[in-house]
Amino acid sequence: MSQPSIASPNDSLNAIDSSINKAAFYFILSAITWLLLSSLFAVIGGIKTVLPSFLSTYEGFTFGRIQAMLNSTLIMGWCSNAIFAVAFWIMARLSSTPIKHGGILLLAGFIWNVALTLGLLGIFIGDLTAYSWMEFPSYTSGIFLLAYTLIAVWGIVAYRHKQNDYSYVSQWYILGGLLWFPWIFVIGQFFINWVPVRGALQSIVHAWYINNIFYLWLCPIALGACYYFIPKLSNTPIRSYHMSALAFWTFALFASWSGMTYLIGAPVPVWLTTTSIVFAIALIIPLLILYVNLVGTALASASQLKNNLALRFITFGSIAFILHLIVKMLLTFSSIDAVAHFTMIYDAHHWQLIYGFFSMIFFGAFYYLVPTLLNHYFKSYFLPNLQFILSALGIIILLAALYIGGWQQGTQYNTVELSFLEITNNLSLWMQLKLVGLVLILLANLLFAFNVTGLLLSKLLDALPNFSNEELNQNT
Amino acid sequence: MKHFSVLLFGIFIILTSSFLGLISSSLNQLGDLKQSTESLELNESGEPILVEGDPLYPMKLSGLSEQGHMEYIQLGCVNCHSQQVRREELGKDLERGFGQRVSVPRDYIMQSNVVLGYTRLGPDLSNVGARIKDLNWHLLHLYNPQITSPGSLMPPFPFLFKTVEISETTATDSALVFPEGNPNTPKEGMAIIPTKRAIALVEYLLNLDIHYNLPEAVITKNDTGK
Repeated sequence: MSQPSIASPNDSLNAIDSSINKAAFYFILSAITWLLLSSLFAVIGGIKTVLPSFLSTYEGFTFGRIQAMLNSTLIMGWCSNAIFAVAFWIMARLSSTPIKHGGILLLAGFIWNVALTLGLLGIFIGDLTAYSWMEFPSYTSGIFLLAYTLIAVWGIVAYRHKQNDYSYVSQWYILGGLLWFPWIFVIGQFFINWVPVRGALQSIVHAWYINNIFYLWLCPIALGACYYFIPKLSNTPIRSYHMSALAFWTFALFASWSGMTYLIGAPVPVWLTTTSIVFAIALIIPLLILYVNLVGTALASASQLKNNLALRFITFGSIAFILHLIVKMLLTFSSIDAVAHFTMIYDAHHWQLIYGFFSMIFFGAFYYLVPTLLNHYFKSYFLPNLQFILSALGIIILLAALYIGGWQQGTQYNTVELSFLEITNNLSLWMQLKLVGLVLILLANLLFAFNVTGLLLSKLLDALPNFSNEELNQNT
Repeated sequence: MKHFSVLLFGIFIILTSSFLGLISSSLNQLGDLKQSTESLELNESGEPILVEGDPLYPMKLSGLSEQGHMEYIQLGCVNCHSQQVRREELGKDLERGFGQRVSVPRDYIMQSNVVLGYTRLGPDLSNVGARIKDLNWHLLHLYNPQITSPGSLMPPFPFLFKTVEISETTATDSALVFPEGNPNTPKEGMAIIPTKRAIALVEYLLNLDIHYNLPEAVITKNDTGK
């Protein structure tokens, strides 16, 4: 392994970029569409926890289904499409090799979105499964798998045929994520939908699935992006880069074994949760390395942080991730779990991973990737900067509401004198604050969509009058 | 390209190890759990066996309850309600009367889909059938939770009910009985009747009750809270 080299001939970079151009834009635009839809679902769900009768005459909009549609659009819509856009481009760039067969990639992306649309309609009419974060009906899983195979293979091929001798830790994370996802997906589908296991075993498989989708699919790709973008944007080599391989292996191993912490106190064998608690605590090792590698490097250059929007997003995301892991460890202590389990704290923990970490990293990545691919830059950074402020504010308010509200919910639950109804009534302030956070996030996401599509449109408009000239030049 | 195979091997080993360690081993441990009688007796060679003639628990759900279970899943109830009673040191489930004993893996073996739940915006339902036995209460609660639990965060499910005109030809035996003076009461001459789905769902809820003993889980608490 060695540091990413900055000097590369521009021609080959352009060839690599254009090899993935169309497919990348397809994935970027799909990701944004699903992101907007998911934030709309989140706001509808948020309104329903303040005004339970909102939209309640329509069966498809009942809270349980909104929640299921929210989870599915987030994971399979926004996160996965964003991953396809960014992971391939990083992989191609670091391997110095163009992505072949962009056409198949485009087709596969289309199939993926068809599966997701079908899945959402299925949930809307009541075909959802009983398992959170994998609610899409089982008849869509085959289509997802087909599409995924056609997509992922090109990222792996790019790494296999790389034109240089270097191997960057970014590539390890991305390769890992691309290989882990189909396997997690198949095991989840197999043991829950296709050949269901019996009884509480379903919950064990389910906990394993959620945990690995988060920590071995979303996290590795986002971490790979961090390792790629942070040194590039801050113009500083990764601090203690030699430790990064250790962080990669320990994070993947420990995180994958830590999944049963969701089931502390549940009707499953106690050794299962104990094992996972041990591994969750062991995450301290990768946590410290990732902190030095990522946050340490990003914060080292204050001037870049001030001037570079993408870096600011990615730094925010990295810090959110470190805090997320700390919370994950804290939640395994039985005295804390006795309060926090079944409260909104678990919601907060998921939001922190998906919005605070993943989405912020990918916003930053898109703000770098889109202008680079278009070779067309923002004239003013006012609106993108505004989006950063809105996103950051929305996430902080949302998390504060859910963490503090959740802690209150847990302590009051353990005060037996308070009836259950009083506990949920006492949550109303936090529910309203949560809604404020979700609305801010929706606005931020709308602004993000506006910024990215606006840049794309202005490039197309700029290109129009020049078109005939270029054609003339080519003919002569 | 030696490191490529090492990398692939490492990536493979990580997920395999967690699959074998967490999933396969629990399959081995829990995969062949069977129904049991409330207590066991010893046979001649001193091994514990089921008591002949005693009923087996957990019982299989009736057809109607099974339909209700499907409704429970399709309406996404699991997004607010849990179905598990935790140990005393992990919260006040027992003291709150959500159950008289902790739930154990065997309680779930007869369910086609296990809905342990992960959050409690609504109360735990493992024993709701034992806590509230009134059919009309459950129907009213589904029709509009504000009637039975003012201030509840639960959404109403009006689409599980039909408003009909009372006449000699329409069957209104199952019509909801509203508390006197409730603003949701239908107009004179009209009645609100549950659909088949609502009846199935309530039948399922009334059957949620783990107040039987199992050899590994004996009822310890005897007061049913509200």
